[in-house]
Amino acid sequence: MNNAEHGWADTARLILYHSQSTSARTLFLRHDSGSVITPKPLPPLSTMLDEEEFNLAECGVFLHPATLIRDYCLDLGLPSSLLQVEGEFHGQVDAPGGIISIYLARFTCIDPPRQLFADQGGKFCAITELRGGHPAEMALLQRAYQTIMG
Amino acid sequence: MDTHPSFLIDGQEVAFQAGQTVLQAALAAGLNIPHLCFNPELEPIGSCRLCLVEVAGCKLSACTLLAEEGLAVQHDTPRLRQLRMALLTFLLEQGKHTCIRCERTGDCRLQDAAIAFDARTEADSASQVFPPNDDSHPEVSLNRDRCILCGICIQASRKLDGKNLFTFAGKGGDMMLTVESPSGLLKDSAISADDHAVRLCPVGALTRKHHPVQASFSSFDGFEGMDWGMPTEFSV
Ligand code: SF4
Ligand code: FES
Repeated sequence: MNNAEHGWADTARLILYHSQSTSARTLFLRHDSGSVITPKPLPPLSTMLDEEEFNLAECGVFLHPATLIRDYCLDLGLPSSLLQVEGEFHGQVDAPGGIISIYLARFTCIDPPRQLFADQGGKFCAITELRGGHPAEMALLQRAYQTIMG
Repeated sequence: MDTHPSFLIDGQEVAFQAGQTVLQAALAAGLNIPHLCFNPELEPIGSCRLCLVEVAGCKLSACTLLAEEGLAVQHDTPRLRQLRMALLTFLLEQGKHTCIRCERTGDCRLQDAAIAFDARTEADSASQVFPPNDDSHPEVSLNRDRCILCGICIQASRKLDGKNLFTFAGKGGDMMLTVESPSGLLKDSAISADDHAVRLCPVGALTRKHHPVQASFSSFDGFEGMDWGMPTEFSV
């Protein structure tokens, strides 16, 4: 499921979350690796860039995040409208292999799709349960959370 | 030759046109997926959850789920039936739905769904506290104790009436429909009995005064062969 065969995964990745419409309880998908980045974790020496440091020249062929989502859902055998891009969020990470763009996408299903990811050790976690992860991931999560909370 | 792409609902092939949702395609194919907040004149809202379906174990609203070639949608499963019933009962318990006293009886989506599912509640609405009703306008009433917070009137007022008269305030159990007017009352708003917002309210929350009752219980009795299990006072 979280294979590295997505052609885009070297230049763009996703943070996936679910928000309960009634309670606004927000949970992020954490993979078995402990990472919240889909489809694979960030390289160890990655650092999050602030917006003023964004490097658009080096971020490779620009893929619209909706394309990434369609591809990812197709891989899972799911309808592409299961995920919706949070258009306001765009992060960038400076990684040893180059710049990686990070997008945020929301599961549109009524409950977090726990079963879908359980076999691979994926879990839906509140932001408070995700402390202690990769510093770049934590910084991205914090920004993502601010975007979600408006 | 039919070149429309198709998907499956409970194993039955349903053709769709690009851009249609699962609910739109199902309805066009004559399949009945119960729904409350979907109205073909408006953008899908996805608030009531009654149109619940499952794809690969994920529960989704059929009214917001785009139809895709090859999608395998589950609708009529014991688990989903149970969830739909729970949702419906919850909606019924959140309001004062005494159909026999409602102007919209016979023309109410919640009533239709309750009848179709044989859903009813023992909840005593007399002991519940509801946000205040608004009877200030000569032609239109807002019965907040019947509002299912679907959001149809908000969108209809904005998009079809060009008035933007409604919004939601509060969160969770305290959420209520509010009127955009200096006093917060209908009488000081630009509402008219002919507004689409009033016409499209799926229940008896936003109603025309002097609205002729659409159907009476005696008229239901006329539908021979239909066993709706309608009690004398249909306090669902
Ligand atoms: S007044 Fe009617 S249309 Fe408006 S939110 Fe309530 S139930 Fe929906
Ligand atoms: S009709 Fe789909 S959520 Fe209300």
